[in-house]
Amino acid sequence: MHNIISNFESLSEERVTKYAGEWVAVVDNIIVAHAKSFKEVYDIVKKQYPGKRPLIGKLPESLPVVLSL
Amino acid sequence: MFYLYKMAFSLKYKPVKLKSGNVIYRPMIPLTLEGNEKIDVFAILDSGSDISIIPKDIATILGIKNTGENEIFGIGGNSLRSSEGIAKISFGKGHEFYSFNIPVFIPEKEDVAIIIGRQGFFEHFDITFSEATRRIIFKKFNVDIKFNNKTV
Repeated sequence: MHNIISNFESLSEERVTKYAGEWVAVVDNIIVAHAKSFKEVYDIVKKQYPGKRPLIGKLPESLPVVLSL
Repeated sequence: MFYLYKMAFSLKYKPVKLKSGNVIYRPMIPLTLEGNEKIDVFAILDSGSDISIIPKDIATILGIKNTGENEIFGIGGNSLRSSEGIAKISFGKGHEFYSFNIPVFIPEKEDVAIIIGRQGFFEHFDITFSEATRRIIFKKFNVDIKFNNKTV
């Protein structure tokens, strides 16, 4: 069984703030790639970790958000 | 009508670094997008968003068919041209995993984070955003419960 939940739970505050604003890929609870786009991260993992199923997402770096009325 | 709930499960909020350097916590979830292949992603769970958004690169890899064109209005009323499609997702934790389809918008702009909005997702669960514990609590419920061979 793949480990989507443990990969997700490994995104600690330290890791999230280090790569804020970037796309990251997590394999076996370790951030193995980070870049400015999904495709870059996806291609790195496909090449360097064949057969692995990474967890990929964008770590936001933003301003506080409110809904407009 | 009676509602029968499955076991609840929860996920912790994730830290987000603000441009000021401060850290806040936002509700984010892991899920699997399914199509030509399966891609595990994490996404912002946004109760203020009507629909879900995925980047064009992911939609292309999954092979999501374009079912229409539309515009997204965000904060401040700025619009973004988007394609529409349907994505199959798998989501859950522990013994509680569920698969279903959700409508997605695919903006022309490349650099968008994955957002899971209400349509197609929130009606599958009762969702509690607990700011006190920084957790999202999901309770999957089933409708159309049979009672004495009648749907109630």
